[in-house]
Amino acid sequence: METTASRVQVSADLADLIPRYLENRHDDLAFARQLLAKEDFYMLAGMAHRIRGSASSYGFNGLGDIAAAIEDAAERHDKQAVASQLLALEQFLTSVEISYI
Amino acid sequence: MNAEASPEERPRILLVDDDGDHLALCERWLTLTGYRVDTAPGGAEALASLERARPDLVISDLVMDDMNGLRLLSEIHRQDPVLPTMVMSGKAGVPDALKAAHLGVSGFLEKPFDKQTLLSAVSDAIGTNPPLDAGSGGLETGAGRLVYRSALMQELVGRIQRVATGTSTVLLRGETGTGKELVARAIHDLGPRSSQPFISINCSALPEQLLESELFGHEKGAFTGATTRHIGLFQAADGGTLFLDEIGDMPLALQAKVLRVLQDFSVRPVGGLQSVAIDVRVISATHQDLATMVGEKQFREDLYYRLNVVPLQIPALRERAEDIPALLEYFLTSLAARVGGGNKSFAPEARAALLQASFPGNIRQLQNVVERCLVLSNGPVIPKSLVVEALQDQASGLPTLDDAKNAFERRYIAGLLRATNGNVTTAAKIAGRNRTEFYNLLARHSLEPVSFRSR
Repeated sequence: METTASRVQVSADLADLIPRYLENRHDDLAFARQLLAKEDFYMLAGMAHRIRGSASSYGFNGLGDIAAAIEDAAERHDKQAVASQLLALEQFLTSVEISYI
Repeated sequence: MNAEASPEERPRILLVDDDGDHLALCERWLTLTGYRVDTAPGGAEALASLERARPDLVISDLVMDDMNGLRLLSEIHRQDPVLPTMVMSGKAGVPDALKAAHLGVSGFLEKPFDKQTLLSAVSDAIGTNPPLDAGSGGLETGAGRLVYRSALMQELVGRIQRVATGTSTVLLRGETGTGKELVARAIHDLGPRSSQPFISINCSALPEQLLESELFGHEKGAFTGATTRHIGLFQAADGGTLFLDEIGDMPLALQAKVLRVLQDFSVRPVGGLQSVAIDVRVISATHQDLATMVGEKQFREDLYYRLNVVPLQIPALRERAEDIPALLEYFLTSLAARVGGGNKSFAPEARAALLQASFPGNIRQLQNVVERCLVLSNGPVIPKSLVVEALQDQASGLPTLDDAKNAFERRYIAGLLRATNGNVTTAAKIAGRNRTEFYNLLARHSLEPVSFRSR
């Protein structure tokens, strides 16, 4: 599957915060997969909600959209949709290209 | 924010959030702006931080693992009732917003928010030199300040700025007391006519003949009592702006004359033979539905279209309730200069009552309430009882069914608490509600059971 890069613009003032931010999102992804396997939709929705609360503030608008989709899917207990969105999250994290402005 | 302030003078903000990434982000934004920032990952650490250094503002997330944000703010208010606080949340429901207002929270930020939103809210909350450019919470005009923080008003101010540079007529629509004249003044002050006259007239305040004479002027002897020549307002506003308030009340005959002025760019005084060329920008305002009046033949259609080249809707205060905290601070300062009572502030429960009020009279009513409270309060903290009294007396006409129901409900619950000596369990049972429902009712009406218990 071809990976399309997600290009984002982030304020240069935040540059040193970004590596930890992305590392935390990778941790979130790993934990989310465990939660999905246990069908713990409540925790999944909570995690997605948290990510949604800061993603676009940092400049990662696409990430915010994915988080919103995970939250919606988790609230519907839609396992397939969550799985699909976790793939989108993985894709985003592995292909994101940041330009600092 | 005064960038030249020494480190000790810069305001200190305590940020509380168990989301480390969001905490880091807000800390960065505020620090870059020049604030001193303390952070805490939860309620317990926040309270510990408060013991070490008193901040000028506390901003807390609502939902946290160790201590709910409202509980934290409740404890902060208990310790320090005048310390400004703000809440941020990604999932604020109305009950949480009301509870936060009940605690006197001075701002509510919905996540995700951007840097400017945060900085605007902080600036309003701690009153640090709010800048006068239109983007950040206040627009200064020759007649006072347009105070706002809401997105609705930001949008309106953006339109005001765009409209100001042109010459098109503007029709301002909005309820009574929403600040239509202030908006008209802002349009004038931001445009190329700002150094020229701004003249306003309320078209409902004068009988027809007087209104005609005021607007168009009259020649000596034009009618009985016209002993001298009188320059009308259209002429007096030449080069500048004429604001016609309550244009919907203008008699049809005068509407025809105003239309001629707008078409011909000249005015003929009453009893005069010659027309005088004028260059006036006309802004008009109404609380009525002119389009309906046109249909009912109460207002001329051709004049309506002439006046309504650019329509601007001024929101009612209840549509921009998040502006009330900033408006309160503005009126407390500006009115104190006139009636005394500088350094007075509202108790948290009083602020909550103001935030929950409906204000059918809009900003004018809010201003009247603040002025009354300033004049009548004895101490530096204005209690809720004064606010409630001022709101009741300001109420116009018959209450709505909802207001009547609310008032009855409050009296009923207060009566129950008195009868049961503040015993919530018994009161709830009598009311036929469970304890949780009853506590929600108490919160909604700002009733404290403990104040009904005899010592």
